[in-house]
Amino acid sequence: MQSNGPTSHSSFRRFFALIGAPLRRRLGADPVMGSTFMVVILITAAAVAAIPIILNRVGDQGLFETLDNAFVTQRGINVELEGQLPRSGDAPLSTVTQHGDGYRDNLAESLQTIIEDTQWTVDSSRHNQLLDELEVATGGFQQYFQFRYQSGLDDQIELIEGREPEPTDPINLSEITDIPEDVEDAEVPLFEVKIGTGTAEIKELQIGDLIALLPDGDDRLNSGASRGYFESYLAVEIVGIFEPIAPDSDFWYSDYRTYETDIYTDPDQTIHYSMGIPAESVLEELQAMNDPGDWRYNWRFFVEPGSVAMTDTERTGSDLRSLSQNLGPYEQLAEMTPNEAARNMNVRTLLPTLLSGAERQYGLTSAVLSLVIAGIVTIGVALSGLLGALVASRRTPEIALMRSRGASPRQLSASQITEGIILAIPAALIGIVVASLLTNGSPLVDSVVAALSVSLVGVLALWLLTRRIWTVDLGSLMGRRADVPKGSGQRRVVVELMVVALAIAGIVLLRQRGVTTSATNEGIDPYVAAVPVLAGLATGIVAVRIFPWLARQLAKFAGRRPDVVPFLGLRRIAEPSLGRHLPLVVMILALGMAVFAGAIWYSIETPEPIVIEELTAEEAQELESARAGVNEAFQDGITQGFWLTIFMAGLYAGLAVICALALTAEERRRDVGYLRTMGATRDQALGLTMIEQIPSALLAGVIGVGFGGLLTWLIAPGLDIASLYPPEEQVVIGVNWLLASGQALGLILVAVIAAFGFAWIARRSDLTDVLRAGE
Amino acid sequence: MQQPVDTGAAEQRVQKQRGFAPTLVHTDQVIREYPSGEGILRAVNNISLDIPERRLVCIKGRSGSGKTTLLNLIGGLDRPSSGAIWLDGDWISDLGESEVVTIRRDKIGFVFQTFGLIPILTATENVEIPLRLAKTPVDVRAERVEEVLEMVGLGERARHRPHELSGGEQQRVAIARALANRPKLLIADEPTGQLDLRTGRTIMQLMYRLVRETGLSAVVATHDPTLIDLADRVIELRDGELVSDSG
Repeated sequence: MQSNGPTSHSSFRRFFALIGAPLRRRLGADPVMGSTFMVVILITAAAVAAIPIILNRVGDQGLFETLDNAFVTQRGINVELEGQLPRSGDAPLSTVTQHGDGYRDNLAESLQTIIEDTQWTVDSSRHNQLLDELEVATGGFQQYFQFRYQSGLDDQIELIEGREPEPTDPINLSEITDIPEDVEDAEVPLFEVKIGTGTAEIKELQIGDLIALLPDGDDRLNSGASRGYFESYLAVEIVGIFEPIAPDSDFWYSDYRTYETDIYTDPDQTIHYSMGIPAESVLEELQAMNDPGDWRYNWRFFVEPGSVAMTDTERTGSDLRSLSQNLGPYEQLAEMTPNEAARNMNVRTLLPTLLSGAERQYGLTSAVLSLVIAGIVTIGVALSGLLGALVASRRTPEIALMRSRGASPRQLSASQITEGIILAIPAALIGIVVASLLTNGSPLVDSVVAALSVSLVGVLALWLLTRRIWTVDLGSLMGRRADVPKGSGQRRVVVELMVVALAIAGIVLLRQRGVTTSATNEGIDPYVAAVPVLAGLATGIVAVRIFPWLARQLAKFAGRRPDVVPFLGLRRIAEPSLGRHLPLVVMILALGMAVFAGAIWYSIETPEPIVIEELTAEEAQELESARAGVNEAFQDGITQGFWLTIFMAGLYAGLAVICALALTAEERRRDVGYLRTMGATRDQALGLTMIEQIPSALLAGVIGVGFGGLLTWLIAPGLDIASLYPPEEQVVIGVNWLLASGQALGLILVAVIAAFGFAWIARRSDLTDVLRAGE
Repeated sequence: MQQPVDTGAAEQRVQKQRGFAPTLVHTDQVIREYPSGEGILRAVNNISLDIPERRLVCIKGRSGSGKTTLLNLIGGLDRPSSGAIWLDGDWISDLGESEVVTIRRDKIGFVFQTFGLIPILTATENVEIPLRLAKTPVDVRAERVEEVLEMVGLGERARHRPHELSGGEQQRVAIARALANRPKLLIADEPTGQLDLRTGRTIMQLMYRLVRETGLSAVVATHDPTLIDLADRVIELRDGELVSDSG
């Protein structure tokens, strides 16, 4: 390690020297623009790099919560076999352990890795407890009794009374008092058992009590038993009473009959299901009694909630479904038990349902966070374009000079791209580090790819918006004719009309048939999927067309009044200018995204309760299963995504306002300087700055809220948010207009504060300096 | 730091001069200093002069001689470090910002080398600006705009924007704008600096005519010797000091 230290250190130094020198040069050349561009790329890269980390964490956390919230019986895998395993001498139950281990070893690898522990129970067939005369006379009810062996039981119980059961001699039925009188006296096998405190309490049994039993002919396990078996009485003596150490522990696998009688009551009858634990050494004797009848073996494979990763769910789910269909390594068990009994084998688990539920929620979260990324990247790229316009505006004299000295458009273009890359790549890398620190997680490959892609798209947007200054006629450039407003070209009008038409058609299609290509829901139609972006573009285009017209009408009205500020301010914003209109588009997109995110966030935070009427047992089970699948991790993931969107939208909107002010600052500073020579007061100059920002912020507020509402209307039906919530709660996605108005007001406030800040700084500037700069 | 000045004595002198030759502007030992590097640059050094009414006064001198600084001081755009400036009855160097703004609006018109027109407005709208700043009633405003545009010979170009006009026409719009509020003093800083010689001479002739016809005074800074022959009086500055005064 030590020998690598200096080498790594010097490599880092060389790397930073390589990157640092040009970076310092570029930042030194234009610190404001360079650092603003870097900040835009940094925050956008940080946001898009954070989302895969959040998604990854949300996926694993959500899956963990889904499994952890589920009952152990829902997430566990229970393999049940009705039959009789070969009996083997002194330790007959070791066969059960061996077969369970063998079964596990033959499971698919994906299932073996998630199984934390294995446990088994071995249950005898059912016996009817013989009732005494009094009980029969008073309409006594069915009382069943079974023998049970359970692995690991001794560690989970405490014998509080009596002793451990042992083999014992037969007993004469006459010694048992509580049996019907018509039962003939006979010598019957006696089995000592220990029972749980719950069983003892419910059945009012004490140490030394005897129970007479007769095999239950209705029990399916006894279907293969000999006819004589059903007339074979047997007796049970209570020799020990035990208490479960942790009655609610997962160990019991929600099967509490081991220590407590299960009482089944319906309007017609009451039935008791009780169990006693006999000595292991009597298993063979017990099994021999109903042979070739069956016993019931349950192998319970406990699944550790944290062992399943979201990336493995597909494979695990597939293996589980395959296991349920084919009963897993059926052949192996089939060889160990009579074939007819092996037919009665089944696998019970809700794990596939839980996994697919988590996958569905993860898919939804992923879709929502992808939307968030798309929104953030769209606004980030638009902002990069805005910066490009700003760069073009600031660099016009410099570029004009370079072009006049022979620099070709290709050279200038390459220079701009190189500069963009020099600024963007380090910003993206810092963004990845910031994302990693903020999310407290390691960056993923997806994060790096997303962040670097953002930086490159940002460079492209910057280049596209600056290229006009090396392609425009040099004469115009040197004469600063770029200031001169020009009408829209026909080509631009046609392109804009096409975008609007495509957006409208896409909206109709999206609402009619959803995001899929066909009724079979196979695949996503890219055109329809792009509708939100198209809608954003169309909204921006319409806004950019409406805004100058509106401003012109207002300016006409203001022109009839003697004041200069409203007239001049409105005339300035009515002029077609990229520097004024691109910020408007960014603000609309940002507010639209914020309103959409706010609508989803508010809707999922305030689900409406649903009154669930009386349910059948099956419906109740489904409800319970649906409830078990709900967890807060996915909700949190989506909420985080939307908060990130709202935060980023606010940041972008603020930057857009600042860029808008910066773009027009020089022009405004010069004009305000001339106005002040004509007698304009400082307050009028302040008013001019404010009036240039407030109408665009107001319009962005109104259109942005409308665009947010449109996005919600378009996208919400495709978001199955309901799967994130318990069945008792219903999420109805809709725009909360109060919240949306608050967001719009926030945007306007940002614009006002930024404008005021700029105006305040301008107010302090010396008039003679301003005029000198104008010359 | 502004030096205290004996404005009483100076005012007496101005009043005395007004008795026989109406004075519009009087500067009394005006000094303007700027911090420059580690030292102080004295852009205008102890200049005292009078500018009478109805005169076209040219200030000549090389770049950096202090012409623009002196014009800015006279026009109330800047304040002297010491000394006092009197303009048509007010010691503007002693006035507060709002009073100076009012004087600039009502009594002074500025013309700049780069014309200073607002590119998005038509010639008419540019000329309207000072009238709007003075909150002139709309009907009076329209009349006044028409009048001054006719005066500078641009009546037919009133609806054009600056980029649709030649350099000379733009400067004439700027002059019309400067005249809109009927000021007493026209201050022009290198008004022909961006014009060819012929156009520049036309502009100077226009200003000469305006001085004669409207009764205003014009102070024009230029370093173009071919244009100053139209001036009633020529003041020469060198390194911030007044080195010659033909008047």
